[in-house]
Formats: sequence, structure tokens, C-alpha cells
Amino acid sequence: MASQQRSQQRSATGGGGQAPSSEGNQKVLVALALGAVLVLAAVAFFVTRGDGNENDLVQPATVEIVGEALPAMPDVGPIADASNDSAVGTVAPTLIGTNFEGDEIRIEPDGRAKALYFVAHWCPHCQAEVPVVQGLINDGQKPETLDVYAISTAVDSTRGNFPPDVWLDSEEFTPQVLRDDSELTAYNSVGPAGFPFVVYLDADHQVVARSAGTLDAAQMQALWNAAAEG
Amino acid sequence: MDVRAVTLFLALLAVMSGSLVVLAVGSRLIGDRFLFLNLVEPLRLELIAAVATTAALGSLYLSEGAGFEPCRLCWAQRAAMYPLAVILIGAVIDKRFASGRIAASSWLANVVGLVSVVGLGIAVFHRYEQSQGGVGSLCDPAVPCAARWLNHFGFMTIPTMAAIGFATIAVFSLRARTEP
Repeated sequence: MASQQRSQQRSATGGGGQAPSSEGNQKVLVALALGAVLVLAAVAFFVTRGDGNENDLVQPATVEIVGEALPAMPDVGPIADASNDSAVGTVAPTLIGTNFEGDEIRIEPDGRAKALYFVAHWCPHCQAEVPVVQGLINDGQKPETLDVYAISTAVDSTRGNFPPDVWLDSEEFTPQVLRDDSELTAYNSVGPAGFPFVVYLDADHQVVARSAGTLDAAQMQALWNAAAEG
Repeated sequence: MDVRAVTLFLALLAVMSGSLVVLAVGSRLIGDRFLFLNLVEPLRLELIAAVATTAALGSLYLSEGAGFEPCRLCWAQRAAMYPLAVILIGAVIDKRFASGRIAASSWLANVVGLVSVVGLGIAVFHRYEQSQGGVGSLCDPAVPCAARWLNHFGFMTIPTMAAIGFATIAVFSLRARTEP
């Protein structure tokens, strides 16, 4: 009972039952708190000053699309293939753009199979997928006749893990990277369904399969092999 | 206003708030021997009101100022934090300018504690969603709950900040209820 009364007396969040601290102490504390907040604001201002938008100029670029865009991937789970995707067997559009160094990248029919990874730097699942791709390449699991490309898309300097070139460099990502534009022209041309989004093309640039979301290494390798075998 | 500066400021405030939580819990475990926390105790209502208000205004800035579209889990956390801000501001006004009975009532600590614990659970789940991803996990390009709009210091995402805010409110209202 006594305990209940005591609890009620001081149950408020600081409102009652407190041994009063001197007003002087409280004023000092409030002043210290305000000072700390001001210091943090100053730190935030000075740390971010000048690191603003210079990267914005070099991240999204211009992209040219040649050919018909693919239809939207059906909602059939992470992998859409010949059994459930009308895009399979159609020729994918050619993507022409530049990499982070400004050199031209052409993803076009050239007699080689391809896996096109559309990744967003801020997407945690893309961040998880990139090392898996690179791991397969490093382990020599990529078919000789298949080229892997990444398309850096949905770039946003206000979001995490920016800029994408630094991210991909940090992953020691070796495939060619094409930069999408701010309208996501390249991304939208392949009927995407989220990030990461992958289009697997055979040597004739025809769609073999598409996948949305993360895949494990075995699934990825099976799709690479399917594309390489046409 | 530069979005990165504001989000870094909010992240630094969250670090400061998280430090208070660690100090409060640690102090409790070793018998409240930190002078600093003894000084804070009389102002804990103002402290958690400031945390809730900053979190509420910060979330409004992130969606309306920075253009970060809130996902469903963000809205669930807002549903917990916004009423807390209103209730706690009302309690501070009552404590400072009126009878102080509301601020001193047990229901206030109970409601604030309960709502903040619920909010903390949602925020932790949201953070888990951001950090996990099995086969087939993807980011919805529209309003993904798994996406990290920002990520300071390698861990401070929006739900991390929300979780720290809720934890601060929960711990300091809990201290009020369990003080020896």
C-alpha cells in the first residue's frame, strides 16, 4: 500500500514527488543542453558544408534507348522465365550511355549473352546483391560467353550510400557500369518490378529471364548459365 | 536548408539522446550515482517532451521538407510519436503554468510508457526490415520500407533515430515509475 502511494506520488514523468533541485542547477542544465544542441547544429553545418552537389553533376547521365521497351514483369515471384513472362524471347532494347568516367557504354546485340543488373545505391538489397555477383565472378563461375553489366539507377544524393561509384568501387565491382538518367529511362525500358532488377539476355539479345529482388548465388549462376546457353 | 546538414544534425541529436539512455540505464544498474542524472531527473518531463517534439517535427521535415516519402511503418511510428508530443507538451504546460496534477498523475507515465514501448517495437522492426533481406527481397521503387533514405555513421537510419527517441521516452518515464 505504502509502495503504491509512493508510486503514485512520483509516477509522473518528473511532474511531482521530486526532491526539488535548486533552480540554479536547472538553469545551468538547460543552458548546457541548449549549448550542446547549438554545437551539434554547428558541427552538422560545417561537416556538410561544401560536400554538396558536385557529385550530382557526375552521377546521373543521359541514356539513349533503341528498340521497344519490355512489358512490365508479371507478379510471379522473384524470377520470371519462359513459363510466365511474355517478354521472354523478345529482343531487349539497346542501352547507350556512359560509365562513371564518361566513357561510352553500349549494351547492344554483339553476339554475347548478358546479365543486366539495375541497382540503386540506397537500396539495401542491391547492396547485398552486388557482393554476391562479384563473388561469383571472382570464383570463376561466370560463363565465358556472358558479360555482366550494372546500371546505376535512381541516384539520389540525399539518400544513403551515395555516391554509387564510390559504393561500387568499395565492393571492388569489376563489371562495366552504365549510368541511368534522372528519369530512369534505362530502368523503365526493361519493365522493372523493384530493385535490384536483372534482365538475362542470350547472345541474340533476346530475353531469357528476368528477376526482381535478391537471389542467392546458386539461382544467379543458374540464370547466367541459362542466358549463356541461349 | 541543406538536407544533409539537417539529417546529420538529427542524427547527432539521436546520438546524444541515446547516450542519455545508456547513462540512465547504467546509472540505474549501479544505484543512481551519477550526479548528472540526478540533475536531469527533475527535468525529465521537459526532456522527453523535447525528444518527442523534435522527433515529430523532424519527421515532418523529412517528409515535407526533404521529400522522403514515409512508408507504412513510418506512419505507424508517427501514430505513436505525434500523440506523445502533444500529450507531453500539454503536461509541461500543466507542470509549469497550472496545477501540475496532470504532470504528476500516474496515468500520464503509464500512457507515455506504453505508447513509447509500442513505438519502440515498431521502430526496431522497421530497422530489422532495413537490415535483412532473404532471397527475393527487393526495394519497391515507390515507397519502400526497407530503403534507407539516409544512413549516418553507418547505422543511423530514420527508424534508428525513431527507436532512440522512443527508448529515451520509455526509459525516462519508466524511471519515474520505478524510482526508489
